[in-house]
Amino acid sequence: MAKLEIYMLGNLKIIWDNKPILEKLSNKAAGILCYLAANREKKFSRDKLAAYFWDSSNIDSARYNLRYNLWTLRKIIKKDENGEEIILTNKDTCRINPKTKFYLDIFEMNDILKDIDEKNFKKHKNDLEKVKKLYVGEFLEEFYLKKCIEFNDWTFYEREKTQRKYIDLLHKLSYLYEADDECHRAIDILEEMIMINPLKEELYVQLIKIYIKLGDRNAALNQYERCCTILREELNIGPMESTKKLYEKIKKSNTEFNQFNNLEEKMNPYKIDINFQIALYSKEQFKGIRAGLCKTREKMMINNPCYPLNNVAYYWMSNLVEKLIFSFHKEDLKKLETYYWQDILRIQSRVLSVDESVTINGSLSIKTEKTRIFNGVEQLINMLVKIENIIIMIEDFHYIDGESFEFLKYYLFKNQNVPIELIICGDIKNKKMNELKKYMNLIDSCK
Amino acid sequence: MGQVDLLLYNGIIISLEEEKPICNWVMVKMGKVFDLGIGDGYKSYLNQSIDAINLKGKTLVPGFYDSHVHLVQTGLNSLSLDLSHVNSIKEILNCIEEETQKISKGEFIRAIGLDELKIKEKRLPNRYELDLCAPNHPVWINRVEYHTSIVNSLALHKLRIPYDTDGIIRNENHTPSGVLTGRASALVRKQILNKLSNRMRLKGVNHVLENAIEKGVTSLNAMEGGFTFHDKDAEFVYENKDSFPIDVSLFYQTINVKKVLEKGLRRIGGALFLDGSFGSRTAALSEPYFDDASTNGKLYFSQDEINDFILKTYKNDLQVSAHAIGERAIEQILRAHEYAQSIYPGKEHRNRIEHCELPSIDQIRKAKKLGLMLSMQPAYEYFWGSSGQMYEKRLGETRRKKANPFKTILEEGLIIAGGSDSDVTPMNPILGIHAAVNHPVLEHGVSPIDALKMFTINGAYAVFEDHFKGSIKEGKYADFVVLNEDPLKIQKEKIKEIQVLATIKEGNILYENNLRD
Repeated sequence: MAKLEIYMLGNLKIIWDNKPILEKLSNKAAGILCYLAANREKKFSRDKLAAYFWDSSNIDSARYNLRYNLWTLRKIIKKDENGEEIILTNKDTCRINPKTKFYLDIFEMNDILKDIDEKNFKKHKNDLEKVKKLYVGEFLEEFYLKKCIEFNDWTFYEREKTQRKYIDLLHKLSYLYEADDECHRAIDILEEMIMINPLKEELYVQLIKIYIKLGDRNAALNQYERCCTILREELNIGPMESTKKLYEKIKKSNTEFNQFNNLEEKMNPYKIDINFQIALYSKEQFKGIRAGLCKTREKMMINNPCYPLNNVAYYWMSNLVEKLIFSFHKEDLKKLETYYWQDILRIQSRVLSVDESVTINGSLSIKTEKTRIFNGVEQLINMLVKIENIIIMIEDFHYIDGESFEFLKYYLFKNQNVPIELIICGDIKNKKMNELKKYMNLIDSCK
Repeated sequence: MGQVDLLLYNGIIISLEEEKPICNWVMVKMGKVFDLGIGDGYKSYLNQSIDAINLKGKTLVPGFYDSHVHLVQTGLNSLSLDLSHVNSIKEILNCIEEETQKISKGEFIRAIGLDELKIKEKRLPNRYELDLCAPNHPVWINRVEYHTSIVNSLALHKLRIPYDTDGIIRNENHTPSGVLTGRASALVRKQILNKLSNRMRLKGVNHVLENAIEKGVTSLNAMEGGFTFHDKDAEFVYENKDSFPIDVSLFYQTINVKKVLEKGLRRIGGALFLDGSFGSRTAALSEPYFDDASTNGKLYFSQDEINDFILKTYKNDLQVSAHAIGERAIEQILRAHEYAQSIYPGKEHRNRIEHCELPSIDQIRKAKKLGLMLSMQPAYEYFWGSSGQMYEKRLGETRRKKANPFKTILEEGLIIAGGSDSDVTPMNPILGIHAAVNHPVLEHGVSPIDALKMFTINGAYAVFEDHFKGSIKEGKYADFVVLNEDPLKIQKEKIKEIQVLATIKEGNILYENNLRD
C-alpha cells in the first residue's frame, strides 16, 4: 500500500510508495506539501495559500499557480494505505486529510521529546539517542523558495525551533554519557556542539573536565589553548576567570596521563599483550616484531605499509579500510551504520562489498568531506576493535600521504583509551615521525 | 666584464648609505647592485647594457617598504561593493540591485563601509528590503567597523547560524531581522570568508599589488589572519608569497605560537589588537574620550594573557608585533616585553609595536630600553590629525597635539618603520613621507631624509632585511623607485605631488611611466 514519508530534517526527501518523488515536484509544490504536512491540524484558505507562495499583487495568477501545483501533488500523491485521500481540497480550502497516516520526521522527533520527563531525563537515554539519529541536518537545510517571504520565515522559525531542541538534546546526552563514564561518547557530542557553535566557551570547559576525568592532562591543556585561540581570533576576548582558574589548577597539578607505566615489559616485542603504540626507526626491529606477532596469532594484525605516493590523497587510509574489510566478517562489518559507510565509500569502493546499496550523498566542501571520512574510518576502527584486538603495522611511515597522516593524529588524539595498537617504522629524520609521536601513547622510540 | 642587465645614469641617486650617499649612476647585474658611483664611471658599462636609461636628472631612491598592510582584506574589499558614500536606504538598495547585474546568481554580494549614522534614516536595512533588490543573490553587508553584518534571507538560509548565539537581532515576528552583531556576526563573517575561493583572493591581491607597484612599493609586510580577518588570508599569503611580484613578509595574526612554528615562520602578530581605535573610541586611553566622557577605551587582553603570549614568543625566538594605540595599551605591551626580557634577557628580536599613536615620553624611552621598534602610519595625521579632524574630535586639542610624535621618537633613538595600514589609508609611501614631514603639529614633523628612511631602510630593518635591501649599495637587491622630483629638495608641502616614474624590483622594471622622456 502507498505510504507518504516526508523528511524535513537535513535535505528534504519526499517518499511516496517507497520511491523518492522530490524531483517530480516543482519547488513550490514541495514547499506547499511541507507546509500543509507540518500544519496537519490546520485548514488553509486557497487565497491565503496562493498569496503565501506567490506574489499577492496578481491574485488570479497566484490562484492559478496554486491550483496547478495542488493538482500535480494530488496526481502523484493519491490515497493512503487506508484508501483515504491525502490532500483534501475544495473550492476555497485545502489541507492534509486529518485521518490519513503519513510519516514526518519532525513529528517523530517531537513525539519522542514530548514523552521525555525533563526532570528525569536520565531514564530516556535511548530516546535521546533515537532523536539524535533522526536529526541528520537543519530543518529543510537546502530548501529555499525565492520571493516567498512568509514561507521562508516559517522555515527559519521551524529551523530555530528544531535546532534549539537538538542542542538541548546534545547537552543532555553529553551529561548522560559523562555520568555513565562513556567519556569518549561525551567528547564526540561536545565536539559536535563545537562544530555548531565554536564560540561557546562552556563546551571547551566541559571537554577540559572530561579529559581531567580521563586523567589526560595534556589533552585538557590543549582544549584550554584551543578555547583561548578561538575566542581570541574570532572575538578578541580571553576566557572567563573561572576557565582561567581551572587551567591554572591543571597546570599546577602533576597528574600525567600514562597508561603505560611498565615500559620494560612493552619493550619486549614478543610479549605484547596489552595496549601499546610503538615508533621504531629500524626496519629490522620492525620485521622482527612482525614475524613474532605472525607466529603468536593472538591478535588481528593489519600490515599496511606506506609507499612513496605522497600526492595520492587518502591512499594509506583507503588501503587500511580495504584490509579491514578483508579481515573481518561481513556480519560484523554490517554493524557499522550506513551513513558511516557512505562516507568511507568516498575513499574505498570495496565498501560496496559490504553493502551494495551504499551511495555517496551530496557534494561536500573539502573540509566537511575530510571530517566525515575521518569520522567514518574512526567509527569503523573503534567498532572492529571491540570485536577483536587489532595491531596496525606501518612500514616506511615517512611516505604516508598528508590526509592519512592527519587522520592518524586525529585518531590517536581522540581515542587515547581505545585499545588500538600501532607499530610504525620510518625515517628518523622525517618530521612526520616526530610529530606523530606527540599523539601516541608511546612506549619506546627505540633509537 | 660580462653583460650588464640594467644601467641607470645621469640621475640623483639617494643611496641612504653613509659612503656614497648621493650617486649619479647605478649598474645592475643578476638582480643586484653591481656598481654605482658619481661622474662618468658608468660609460664603460653603456655598451654592455641590455637596458640603459638616462635618468636626465630624475631621482632614484631605494624601493619602498610598506610595513603594515592588510593585503588580502584590501584585495577583497577592492572587489566588494563600497557603501561608504551612500546617503539613504534607497541608495543602498539601488547599489545592491546594480551589483546583481555584475555577479552571477547565487554568488554572494559583499558590501563594505556602511555606516547608518551617515544615512538619512539612521538605521540599517533589513532582510526583507535586501530580498527585494537581490532575490537571487545572497547579500552580506559589513558595517564600517566590520563587527556588524547585515544579510538578506537567501544569505541567512545559506549560513549556518546557531540560533542560541548572542547578537541575532530579531524583528517583530521573532525571526532574524538580518542584522547580526557580536558573536553572530563573527560566526557569519567566518563562514562567508571561508567560502571565498583563493582565486578570488588572488584576484583581489593582484589588483592591490599592481597598485602598490605603481606607488613604488617593492616590499611589504602583510598582517593577515585572526580577529576581524580570516586565517585563510594568512594561509593564502603563506602559500603564495613566493609568486608575488614584490616581496611580502607575513605576520600571522594569531596567538597560536605552535601554528606559526609549524609553518616555519619566524614572526607572529601584527594587528593583534591590544586595544581598538580612536575612531570607534576603543583605543585604550588613560583619560576619557573628549567627545564621550563615559569611556576611555578598551583593553582586549589582560596583562597576564599578553605576558604569557609575549613570553612564548621569546621562548621560541619569534619576532612579535602587536597593535597598541592608546597609552594604556602601549603600557601593557611594554610591561609584557619587560616581563619576557626579565626571563630571556639579551635577545634581539626587533619586536615591534604597531601604530603606537599616543605614547608618553616615558613610554618612548622604555621602548628604546627594551630594544623595541615602532611601526607607524604617518598618513593617519594627513587624514585625521589636523585641527577639527577626527583626532581633535575624539581626543581634544591637547591630546591631538601629542599624537604620532615622530620627531621625538627618532630623537630618543627609536626606529620607525612606515606603513599605510591599507586599506585604512591608501598604500602610497610618497603620501606617508609627505605626512611624516608635514605633521600638522610642527614639532612632530621629521626631515625628508628621516621620512624617506621610514619607508625604505627602516622598513627593511623591521623585518631583518636591512643587510640586503632598504638602501642602494653594491651587493644589495636592485630595488629602486624613480621619482620625478627629489624628495629631499622639493618644497616640503609639495612632497605628496611627487610622481613615481618607475618601480624596479631586483633589476626588473615592474612599472614605468614617462621614465624615458
